[in-house]
Amino acid sequence: MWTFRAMSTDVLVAAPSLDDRAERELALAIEAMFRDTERRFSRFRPDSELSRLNRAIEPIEVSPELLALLVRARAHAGRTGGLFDPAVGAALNASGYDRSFAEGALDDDAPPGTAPDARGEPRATIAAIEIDEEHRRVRRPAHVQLDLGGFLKGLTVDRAAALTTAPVVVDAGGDAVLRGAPRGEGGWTVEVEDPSEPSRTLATLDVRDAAVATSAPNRRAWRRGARRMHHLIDPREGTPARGDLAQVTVLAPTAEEADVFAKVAFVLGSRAGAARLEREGLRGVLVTRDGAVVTVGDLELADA
Amino acid sequence: MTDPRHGKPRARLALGPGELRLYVVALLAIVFTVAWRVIGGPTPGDPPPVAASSTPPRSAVTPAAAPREPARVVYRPTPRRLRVRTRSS
Repeated sequence: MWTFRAMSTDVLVAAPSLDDRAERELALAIEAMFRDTERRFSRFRPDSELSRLNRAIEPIEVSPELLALLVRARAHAGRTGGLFDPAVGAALNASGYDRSFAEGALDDDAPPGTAPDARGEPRATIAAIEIDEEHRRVRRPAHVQLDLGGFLKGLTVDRAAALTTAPVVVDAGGDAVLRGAPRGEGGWTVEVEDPSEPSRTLATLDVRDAAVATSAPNRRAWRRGARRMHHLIDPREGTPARGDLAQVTVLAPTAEEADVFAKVAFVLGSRAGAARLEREGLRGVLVTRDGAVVTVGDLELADA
Repeated sequence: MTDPRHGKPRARLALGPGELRLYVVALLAIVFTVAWRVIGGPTPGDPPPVAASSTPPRSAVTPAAAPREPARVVYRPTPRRLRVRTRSS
């Protein structure tokens, strides 16, 4: 297996049925894909196309790839009633997440900035962006800042796994596609981390031909004044979500979908979140802040 | 000298100090090679290095002071039972 660092996380590529040379070439192609995607669509890189859009005050022409991302993200926002919405860039900036995350780097004694909603700005939503698909022209309202974050990572994991037809695992820090199974096995073993004690495994799952993603505020978290902030913004309020959940893991046909619905369930909380996953036909493991575990769908958990 | 039984000159191992050293070195090399293979050390026919890049190998004439390009992907042995750990990242 091969590993590399991209999108502020460790990426793992394993295709055990390929010979060493083919597996290495696959890993190199996937690394190039991640690097190119990050270069073009990170909100932290001033020279990225996404940053250019986030600065634009006039309509601009965008690449076919950015157009496709915007159209997909808008579709997810529509499907989830705005519970997933990548237009949370300004809210993330206001909460202090205004540069690439590193442990402790965002801590500040000053309190967080005023959330966009509290400033009286209209709710930031991708639906407010005018997208002319025919001419690839996009007009962004001044108050809307996009952050493609985990959605982009999930999508890239899906695209990476599609580079081979062999059984493969592509895992980007917990967002993973697990296709086929290792020789002689029924599936891949996925460990769900215990959010209260990251060195502990809460449960293991046997996964085949599915993707998995996990949302939790325990890693990308920082302090602003006396407040603990995290990166999971509730798009309805423009502030870090404050539900009863500590972590949501979702299994879905694609990592893109798994990432979107892990966020949606987290924002909704354990009851409504589990109901929503069930309605979508997805499987999931929800962990509440007091440690209760709620499973959704046909899942066999093996205690670690 | 003559072998008294056959009347032929007797075969004799006559080694000078230089030849003796060569024999000792060759013998040590054989012992070392066999021991190396037994403990599983790499050989010239083994697969290439653990870190890979799509760039061609550096020329031997590359100045030693030139910065080394970091490896883009790093090989790790795949465990018999690979475990993927899902968490927020």
